[in-house]
Amino acid sequence: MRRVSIAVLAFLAASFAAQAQVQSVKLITPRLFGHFIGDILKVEVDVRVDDGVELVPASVPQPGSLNQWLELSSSQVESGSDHGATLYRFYLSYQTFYPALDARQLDIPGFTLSFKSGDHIYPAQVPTWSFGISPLREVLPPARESGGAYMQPSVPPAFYDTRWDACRALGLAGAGLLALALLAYHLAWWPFAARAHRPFAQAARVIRKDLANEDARRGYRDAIIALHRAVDQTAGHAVLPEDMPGFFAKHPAFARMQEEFTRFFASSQSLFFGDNLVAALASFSSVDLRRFSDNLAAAERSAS
Amino acid sequence: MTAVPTRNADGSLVAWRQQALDFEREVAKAVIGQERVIRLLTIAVFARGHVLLEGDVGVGKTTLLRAAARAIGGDYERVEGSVDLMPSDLLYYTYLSEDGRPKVDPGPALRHGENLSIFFFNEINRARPQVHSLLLRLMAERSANAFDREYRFPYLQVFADRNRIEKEETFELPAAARDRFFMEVGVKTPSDQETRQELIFNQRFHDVDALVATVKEGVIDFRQLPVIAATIQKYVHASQTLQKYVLDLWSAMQAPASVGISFPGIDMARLIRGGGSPRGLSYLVRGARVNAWLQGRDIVLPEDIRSLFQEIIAHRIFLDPVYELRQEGLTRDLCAAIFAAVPAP
Repeated sequence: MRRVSIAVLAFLAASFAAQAQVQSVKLITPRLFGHFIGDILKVEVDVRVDDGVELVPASVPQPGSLNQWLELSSSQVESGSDHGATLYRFYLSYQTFYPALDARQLDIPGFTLSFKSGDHIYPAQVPTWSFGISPLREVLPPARESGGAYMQPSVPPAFYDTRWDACRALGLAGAGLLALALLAYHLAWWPFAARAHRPFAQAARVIRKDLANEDARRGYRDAIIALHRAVDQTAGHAVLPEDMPGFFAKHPAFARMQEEFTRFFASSQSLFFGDNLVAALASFSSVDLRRFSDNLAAAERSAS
Repeated sequence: MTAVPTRNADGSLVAWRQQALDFEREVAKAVIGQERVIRLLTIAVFARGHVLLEGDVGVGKTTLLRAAARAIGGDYERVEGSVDLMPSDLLYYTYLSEDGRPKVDPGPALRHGENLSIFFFNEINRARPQVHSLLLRLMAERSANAFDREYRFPYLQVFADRNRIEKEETFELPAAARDRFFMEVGVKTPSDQETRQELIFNQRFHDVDALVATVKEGVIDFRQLPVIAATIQKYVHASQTLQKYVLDLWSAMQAPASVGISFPGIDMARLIRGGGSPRGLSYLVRGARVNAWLQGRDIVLPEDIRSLFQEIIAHRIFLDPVYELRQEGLTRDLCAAIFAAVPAP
């Protein structure tokens, strides 16, 4: 925030040629009065130079104490092209520690920046500028009963009413939980994993466990039964293969898997009624069974 | 699932199956619009079971049986049930011969001897229980005693028709008698207009003798039937899973509430007084094996059981007298509910 701007054209004591290399030096200062001990004064210095002229980095003032009461706390520079010239902008932060007893002017000393072009060095003088500093307390305060009375209370923190924010946060958290619950319901996660109208999702889980059974024959058998029960639950009654046209009519989401259902039932018949595990596996392997149950669970999810 | 020959070394089941399908086709020439009935009849023939027919008057039951008898070969006999019919009337009849002397000749049951293939008892419930008794002996043992000797009928298959319309002067078959029938087949009037029109306007169906004559004779040799039936039962496989399924069905039938079956306004604990019998269930499996064989399979599937359950089991389910008047609808619903409730496998 700049309250005061001072433009200074630096006509340096260097040669005429050098004058032409540094086009202008512009100082932008904060307000020039009403500062107190500990204040930070932010100054910007714009130096416009001809293209091809470069800053000598060593000439940039480095942070550190300048005198007993003044410290350069930071110093940064950036540059850019500006209408056929190069603009260097310096950001300088001064902090004053002057314990003023009365209002008075203090100087911030100027300094010289160096630029070079080839073998030539071109100085640019940043001028001294002054600001007004004020005391924090009276010179002769009236007598008080206790020393603590001279102490002024700190500015109380502003009160921000956070009730609305808290309500909004609670509301959003509730909405988030609700969304999570809906997602869990949709994907049949716990605690909705066992709900009755997602029998295929439940079966897919059971089948995965069954197929991991050490006794592969038993696991396969249990997995097929699990899928049978899921079909039964979805239909609402025990389903035999010849009932499948009615099943598809009632649950069209599964109709595209007709061919897999046919193979599944053929496999089941071979296993349970033909006592022929080899034929069953040839018709519908464990991998087929797992994929089929996953596909059924997905179709069930998309249909709901 | 494998084809029939794998379990029957010489492949004769395949050849016999072709004969069975030919038999169906020949019978279908004489009786149209009754495909299901003809299939059930074929199953009964190859399961060697006696059949109770039920249906409206004039739907072609006699024609059906005559056609079947012609296709099987062997002799056909028909008896009309009546209130004054006595057991002896089935076995012999007496008359005065030309020379004026009384004579006794074998009656309808004995007349054909071992060649008797199909015996049709029309309106069985018009006959008295004494007659039922004799008939049950004929059915169960395929034999009868008369003229101081035993007559055997190794190829006999009894068909009986129940008149369900008139109730007066009828003697309803007792439970034990009904249980001896392999299946009860309902012969309904064809429902589609085309068949109805054909039956009414096509003169081919007006002369029953000529119609039956169109059926090829002896498509199957009736003397072979017991062997074929036994072979089917031996080679068509009923797995442990299927056996358990049938037992589960039986349990569900005896205690429907145990598998969650309930009908509105019905006390399920009281509904069933008798739910099938071991004989009934064994008949069911026997029929299912034949059905599987006719379908070209050598394994029995739950579908085979279900497709015959109504015909083989329903007439063996006895309800509490309170629900007797609703017997037909309730047993039909019960059969359907049992299959909906009992999972397979």
